[in-house]
Amino acid sequence: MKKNKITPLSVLKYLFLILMAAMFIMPLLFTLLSSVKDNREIFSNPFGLPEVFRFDNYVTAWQDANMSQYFLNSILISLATIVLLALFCSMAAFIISRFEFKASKWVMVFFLIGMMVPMHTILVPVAYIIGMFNLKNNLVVLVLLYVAFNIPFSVMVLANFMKGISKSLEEAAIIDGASYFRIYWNVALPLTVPAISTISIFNFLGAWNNVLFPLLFINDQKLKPISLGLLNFNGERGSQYGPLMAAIAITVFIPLVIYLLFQEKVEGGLAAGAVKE
Amino acid sequence: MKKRWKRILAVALACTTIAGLAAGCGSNEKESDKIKIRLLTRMAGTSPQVQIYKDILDEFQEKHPEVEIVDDSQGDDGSFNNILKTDMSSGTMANIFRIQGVANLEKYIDEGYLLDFSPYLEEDAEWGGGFTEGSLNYYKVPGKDGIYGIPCESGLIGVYYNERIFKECGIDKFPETWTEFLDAIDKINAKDYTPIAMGAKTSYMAGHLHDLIFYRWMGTEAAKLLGNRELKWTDSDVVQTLEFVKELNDRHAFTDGVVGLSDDIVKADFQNGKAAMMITGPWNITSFKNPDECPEAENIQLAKFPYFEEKPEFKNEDMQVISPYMVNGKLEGKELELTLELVKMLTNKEAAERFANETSQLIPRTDIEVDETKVDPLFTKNVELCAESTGVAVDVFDFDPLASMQDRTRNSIVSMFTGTSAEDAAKEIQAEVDKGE
Repeated sequence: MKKNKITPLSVLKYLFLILMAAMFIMPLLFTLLSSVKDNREIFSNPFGLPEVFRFDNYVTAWQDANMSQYFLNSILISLATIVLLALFCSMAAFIISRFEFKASKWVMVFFLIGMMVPMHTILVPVAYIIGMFNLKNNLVVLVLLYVAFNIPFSVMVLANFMKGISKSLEEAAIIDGASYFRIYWNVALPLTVPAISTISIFNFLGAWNNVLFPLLFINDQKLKPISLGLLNFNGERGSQYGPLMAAIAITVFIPLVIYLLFQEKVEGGLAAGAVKE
Repeated sequence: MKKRWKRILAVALACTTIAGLAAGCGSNEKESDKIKIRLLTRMAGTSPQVQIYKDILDEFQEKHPEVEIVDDSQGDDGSFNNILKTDMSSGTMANIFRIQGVANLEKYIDEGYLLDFSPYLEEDAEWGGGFTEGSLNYYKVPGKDGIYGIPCESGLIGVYYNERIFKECGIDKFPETWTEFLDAIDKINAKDYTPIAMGAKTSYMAGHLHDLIFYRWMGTEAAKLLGNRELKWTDSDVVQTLEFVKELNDRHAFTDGVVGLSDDIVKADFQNGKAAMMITGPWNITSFKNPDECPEAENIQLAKFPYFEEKPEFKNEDMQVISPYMVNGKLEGKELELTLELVKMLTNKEAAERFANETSQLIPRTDIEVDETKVDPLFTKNVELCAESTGVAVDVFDFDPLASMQDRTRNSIVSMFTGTSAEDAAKEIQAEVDKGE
């Protein structure tokens, strides 16, 4: 068996990796430690172990700040967003990548232009339309907003991925008498799962973490998502950081688990499409 | 094949239409019957003050089940400003809200966003007659008739200090003059304590320090002169006020790395006995006097900011916090009536007494009875010191018609902690004024 030799270079590499790992884990560690402390301890001893573990911060976060309801709303909103995006964007990507028609490039450019529009620049017209049609406090509208804003990125990733799928598979399906929809549904879609996983992770995180849209368009306590729930702990002149950090720990937990579960597909999906057949 | 695609397209379109309709109908049905009162204040978070505010909203809701109360209040600056700006741009202002400043209110009045409270204050003498004259006058906007804000909070911005540290450093009483103050800072430094808990990352702290110095050096009226352009930021006296801030920094009055520290961090230093002084308002009294939160609770005292020996006439020209409730000027009929009723419930004698006795928050009314057994002596002291004021103002930029001056002045003041000279900071602020002109 071949043994790895310890060289100065490998030591340096490991030191660098350890340093990077520490840098990434520190904020998480700080959040977890702070979630069982009070304000005084958080600021006087930020990285030390707490004198008393205040697990009641989690109870305060979950019950008093209505996090359980917000949590459920966030899951519903995020899931609806990723399902709609996966469906619509994969359809668009299929047409753009597999069909050759005159405007196919321009259709792609049309979607890409959407990525260049910053969210803040269209807030006022969106707010105006939502106010005019009385669409505030409506989760369907919120989901549609997320879908609209995430279409460009999702179409781009999926179209690039689909371009890499072998044409012979499609041709075989056509010879077998498959319709276009069947080719999309039974051939292209299953092969695009890694890329769909990738966009779903990004879209899930985007919807889960978005504060701006729900802040402006949702003010019914029963409909608020978890990102707004965190603001409940912010006061004009000071905040209760213990329960806030506990709420953050709860908020981070779900995306973290989802990322860990789909980590390989995310990375694979991002790299896919870079090399064409 | 064509048929199939057409069918798919039709189903997709139908789904979109149904979703849209469901969206629209859902909201209409829910909101059609009730009068909605939306509030966009800063009363958010978990403080005892917010609890009383919420209790009053609940009481109002119980009294008026036909009303739907939507409380959009935000503690976080950025979130509050996002909602306020979007509301203004889309013409959907809340019923009750708050805008910082005075001189900048003119444009909102012109657009009809602000209700003039004068007739309602006169009409209900029991409620309207209870406010201190000075606090109502504060919301008389230059060039406009009327009163455009109802004060819901006031109190002296003073120096809270740790008596134990002062004694340990050989300082028997809180310095009254600037020279004594500088001397005290040297003595505190010599004992390795931080003289002033200052977290300039939260730029209002540096801004408040300059406000205090400005009023002691030039008086509160000078802020109005800056606002109406009779004075310039580059005038020697104004530059001198900035120079005093820089002098404190050069004398190591603040913790090292002051620019990277937030108010919460330095407040913890003060509460834990690492810093000797903190410049703040009465809202912190409850946390300063809570032994669980503040191990130095019994040593915390309050004093006015020192005055300049050369300017004894401005000894009591004070900075006070005054926060208002404003009402949407476009409301009418029953909605206006109910909104005003809620504002009255939030600011009447009963509410003022509850806020004062339970949370040390002072609504500036002359008719409140403070229960000496309930309130903290620091709160009583704050009220006493307020009574000595010969002139009162909030932030210097409150009198400036340019809305950007809040950020500009505070950022330039903070930049002095990283090496910018007082002259350059003054030029930077004046440039903003000139650009705005």
